[in-house]
Parts: sequence; structure tokens; C-alpha cells
Amino acid sequence: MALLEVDDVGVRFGGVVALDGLGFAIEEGEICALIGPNGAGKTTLFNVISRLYEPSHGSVTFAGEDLLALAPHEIAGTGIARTFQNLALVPGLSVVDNVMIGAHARTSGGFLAGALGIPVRTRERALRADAMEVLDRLGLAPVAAHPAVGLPYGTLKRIELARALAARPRLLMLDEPASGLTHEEVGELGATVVGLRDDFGLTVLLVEHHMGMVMGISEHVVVMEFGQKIADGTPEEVSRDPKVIQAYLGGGA
Amino acid sequence: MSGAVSAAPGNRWRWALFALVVVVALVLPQSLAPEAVNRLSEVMWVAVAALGLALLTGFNGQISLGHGAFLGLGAYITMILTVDYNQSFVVAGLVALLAAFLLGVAVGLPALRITGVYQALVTLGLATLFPQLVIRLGDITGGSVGRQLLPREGYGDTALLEEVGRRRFLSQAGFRAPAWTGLADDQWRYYVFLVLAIVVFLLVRNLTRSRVGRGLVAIRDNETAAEVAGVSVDRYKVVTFGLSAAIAALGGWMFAVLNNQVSPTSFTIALSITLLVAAVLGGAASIVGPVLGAMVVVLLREVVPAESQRYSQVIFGIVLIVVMLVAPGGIVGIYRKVEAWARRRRSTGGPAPGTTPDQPKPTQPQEA
Ligand SMILES: Nc1ncnc2c1ncn2[C@@H]1O[C@H](COP(=O)(O)OP(=O)(O)OP(=O)(O)O)[C@@H](O)[C@H]1O
Ligand SMILES: [Mg+2]
Repeated sequence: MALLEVDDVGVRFGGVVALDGLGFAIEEGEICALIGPNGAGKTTLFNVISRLYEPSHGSVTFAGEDLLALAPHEIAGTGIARTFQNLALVPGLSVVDNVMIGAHARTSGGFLAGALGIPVRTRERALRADAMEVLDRLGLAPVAAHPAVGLPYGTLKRIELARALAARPRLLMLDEPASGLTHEEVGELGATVVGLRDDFGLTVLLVEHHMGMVMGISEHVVVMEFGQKIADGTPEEVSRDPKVIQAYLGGGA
Repeated sequence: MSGAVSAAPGNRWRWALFALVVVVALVLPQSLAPEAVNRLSEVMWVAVAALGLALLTGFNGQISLGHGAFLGLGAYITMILTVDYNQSFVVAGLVALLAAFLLGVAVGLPALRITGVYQALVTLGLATLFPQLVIRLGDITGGSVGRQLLPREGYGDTALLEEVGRRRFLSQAGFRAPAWTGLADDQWRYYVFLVLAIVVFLLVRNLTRSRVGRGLVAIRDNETAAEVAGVSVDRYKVVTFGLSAAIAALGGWMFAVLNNQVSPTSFTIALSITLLVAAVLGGAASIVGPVLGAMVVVLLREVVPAESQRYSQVIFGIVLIVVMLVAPGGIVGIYRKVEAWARRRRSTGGPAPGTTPDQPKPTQPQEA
């Protein structure tokens, strides 16, 4: 059974049809790229999976569970973490605290425990150590105590990745992680994503315009245009597909 | 490096300072006139209420222009329960906390759908409604004149007053010092307030530094990010509003105990603004800030001559606007900036904060 199944999902914004009967499936452990011209609906799909957008029809199933029956804050608990195309960090917290926020869903402790403090302290310390480990791995340890603002763009993007990893997700969704990075950084990011997948047994859903990275690291590519799926297969299959070639040449992307 | 609580020495320094403040606070009333002791008690109820407001505003980014109403609710419940229902001040305080929590939740619920300016308007409405309601319910509240915290049956009869008072824990005709303490009434009140203020301070401090506290700040700065990370945004907001209201009501309990009387003029919109000034002036996104702000606010009221007291709201309004424009972090915010600047100076030739350490080798892939 596929880990994530998207079936016949439709989303419209007024007159704009952002997703039009979109459907595909991802197997556990694969790196699946979701590509398509600007405005194809890639981010919209992420937002449907995160339950930020309500689809008009269709279903989304993760590990057999109907995601559309859950509230937005319950998605993280099912094992799904994501990054945002436009950064969504918490500037009022330090970098390491931002990463610890990522672990919110897999930790416990409510208002009472928080106010009383004592039983929480050791758990907090372990959590902080966890977060430091993730930061270390992504080369972010030197900025751990810095507020999550005023840092270079590439660094902020990596902090988002670190926050998503702190959730110890089964499915990691990355929305254009390579945008704004230098050529060299993109290469490193690709290696990092593959390394993370291998080490933590992740499944990755990758939205990316950087074709070098997409073709280099993914085993599965889904191509979208105007909210619909136009191709689905291995990188080789997809890049030979006339419809894909047409979309990319005709779309001017 | 990991887990090495880098703030440890700073932390120890802070605890030492905290202990020093507590010691000073403990000996202070021994050498002060009752008037001065009462002023300090006033600082404490303002500080407690401002701390509650800071939790809501500074940490969670919600707005309340009506916290004076929760304070008033706490004060009136305390008066009514101790005087009319012969309850102890402890019971009255607990009921006040619970009632304000529930009212806070009720006021916080619509805030889930409405934000910003609308939330400001709703809470402003609450602040204006409260004194009106008190006057309407004159039979129990004493109307526009207000009522004293003295048993009705005991008016003019000192012996009966003492007798009625003794039946209630902590209280003898108002909030009087038990004989075993050997303290004057004002001193006893002060010490009780001090304990309560310290407890509230520590609870709020712990909370803001916990998993929940991180969630609250995340909601304030980026609600979507908080929600996607699994923070139950709606529940956090509503509970925080309830807690904040309950803390304000504790301030109201302290108010009633200190002044031994309550009247609607004490709980107008002016009080809500005063609390907001205390929180913002000190630094609403901190726990020390509201305490400092409370000191300044009470001091300001002392030094402004009585005949121009009615202008104090204007002054507070101006202070509020100036602080928001010039130093949005308040006193604590200024301190933090200076501290960061000093740290940069000390790390000789250290780069500016914007360009700090980053840019080592960006990633060190430790592939398997
Ligand atoms: N919140 C929204 N309100 C209105 N329209 C929206 C909203 N979100 C997306 N859209 C529209 O839906 C369509 C799909 O947008 P989406 O952001 O999903 O595209 P995308 O594939 O992520 O594009 P890009 O590669 O530029 O990020 C676009 O026409 C966009 O304008
Ligand atoms: Mg997008």
C-alpha cells in the first residue's frame, strides 16, 4: 500500500481552479518530486495535505488514515512535516527554539506541567539536545542561539528543514528548498536530502524548479500543469514525455 | 556543545539577583510607614495583573483593552463572598479565579475568528460594560457608591465585628493580621501579597519557558507555522485568555483586600489602560517587564499632584504611544539591546548580528 495517496483532489479560489482532480501515490521510502510550471498548484497541494486549504472534493490518505478528517494541528502527529516556499519561521524565538517547535507534536506537556516546571525540566533538556543534534547535522550549530531573523536566506531555509526534521517525520514535504541558493549550495542540499532519507528512512515529497536537483535525486516524478497531473513515472520516463516537454517549452517556465 | 546550557552562568546570576530582590522585599516593610507599605502592596497587585496581561499580549499576541473588568470581577466576588456569604478570603479568591477564567474563556472564544482591531473593540466593550453592570446590580454591588469589605451585621459594633471576622480564616473584619504573626495589618497584607506575587511570577516564568510557552510565541509570530508544527492554536489561545483573566482577577482580590472597599469607579477603562501601560512600558514580552512597569505606574501616580490626577490617563496614553514608537520592547527590551551590544563589543571585532557566525561550510553531509 502506498504511504500517501492523493485522489481526485479539487481546489478552487473564486474563479481560479488551483487543483483539478489531482491524483497520485507515493511509496514509503521514495523521494518523489512534484514539478510543474508556476501556478500549477504544487503549493496548493501541500496546503491541502497540511489541512490549511479545504478541497471541494477528493481524498488524501496517509498510511491508511483519512487526512481530511483531521484538524490542521493534528497533521504533524500523523508523521508529516513540511517546509514553506516562503519562510515561516518564528522570529521571536532563537534558532534552536524554532527547531524545538518542530518537535511539538511528538512531545507532551500542557499548561499545568509547563507552569509547574519541575517534571518538565529533564525532558526539555533532552529535547534541546535533540534539536542541537539536528542543527549540528545541517551545519547550523553556530547560529543556534541567534534569533531566527536577520540571517542569510540559505541559512533560514536550512533552519526550516531542521525544524521539519525535529518532528522525526515519516513524510517530509519540501517546498522549493533550493530556491535562492547558490549552485554549490544546491548540490550540497541534494546530498543532504538523500542522506537524511537514507539515515532516517524518510519518504520525501519534493517540490522544486531546479531540474538538476530533481532529476539527480528523485526516483519518482509527478508533473502538474493547471492543477492536473500530466505525467507520472521515473525521471527518465517523465523527461521523454511529449506532454511534459510541451508544458515546459510552451509554459515558458 | 549540544545541550550545554550556555545560559548557565547568566542564569545563576539571575537567581542571585532574584534572591536579593526577595530579601530586600522581605525586610522593607519593617522600616517603612504603613502608607509606604500600602504603596508597595499596590505595586504588587498592579504587577500581578500586568503579568497576566503580558502573558496574553506579549507572549501570545492577543489584545485586551478590558483587563480592568476581570480585575473588577475578582474584587467584587471577593467582597460579595466574604461579606454576604461569610466565606473566607481563601475561598473567595479561588472562586474569583475560577469565575474570571471562565469569563476569560468566553471572551477569548470569539477571538478565534476575529483578530486585531476587532478583538481590541470587543475587550474595550467589556471594559466599558463592567462599571455599568455593577451600577445596574446595585442591590448586591452597592451601586455607584460601592461597598466596604465589612460584615453588615457588624457595623458600629466592634465586638460583633471581631467575632464575625474570627469565623473566617485569615480575616477579622476585613483582612487583618492573625495574632500569632505579631505583624501590623499592612505588613501582613504585604507579605501575603509578596508570596502570591512571587508564586504568580514563577508560574508564568516557567510556563513561558516550556513547550507551551514556545507554542504561544509561535502563535504570536506565525500562526500557520505553529499549527503545522502541531500546536493546537485555538485551544492555546482560549486557555491563555482564561489564565490571563484569572491572574488579573487575583490582582482584583488583592485590590479588595488592600483597599477594603470596592466601587465601580475603580474598574473603568482607565484601569485597563493603566495595566496595559504597565505591561508595555516594562516590556510585555518578558516577565520582569510588567513588574518594573507596575513600579513606574504606581510611582507616576504618586508624583503627579492630586489636582491633575484626571490628566494621568492622558499622560498614560501618551506614554503608551511613545513607548510603542520608540522602544516597543519596553524597559526590558532596551536592557536586552544594550546587553547584546555590550556582548558584541566584548567579543573583539565580532561581526554585526545580521552577518554573525553563519557561513562555515554550509552543510557537512555525514552520509552513511
Ligand atoms: N490563497 C489563495 N487565494 C487565491 N488564489 C490562490 C491561493 N493560493 C493559490 N492560489 C492560486 O492557485 C494557483 C496555484 O497556485 P500554487 O501556489 O499552488 O502554484 P505553485 O505550483 O506552487 O506555483 P509556484 O511554482 O509559483 O510556487 C495559482 O493560480 C494561484 O494564484
Ligand atoms: Mg508554490
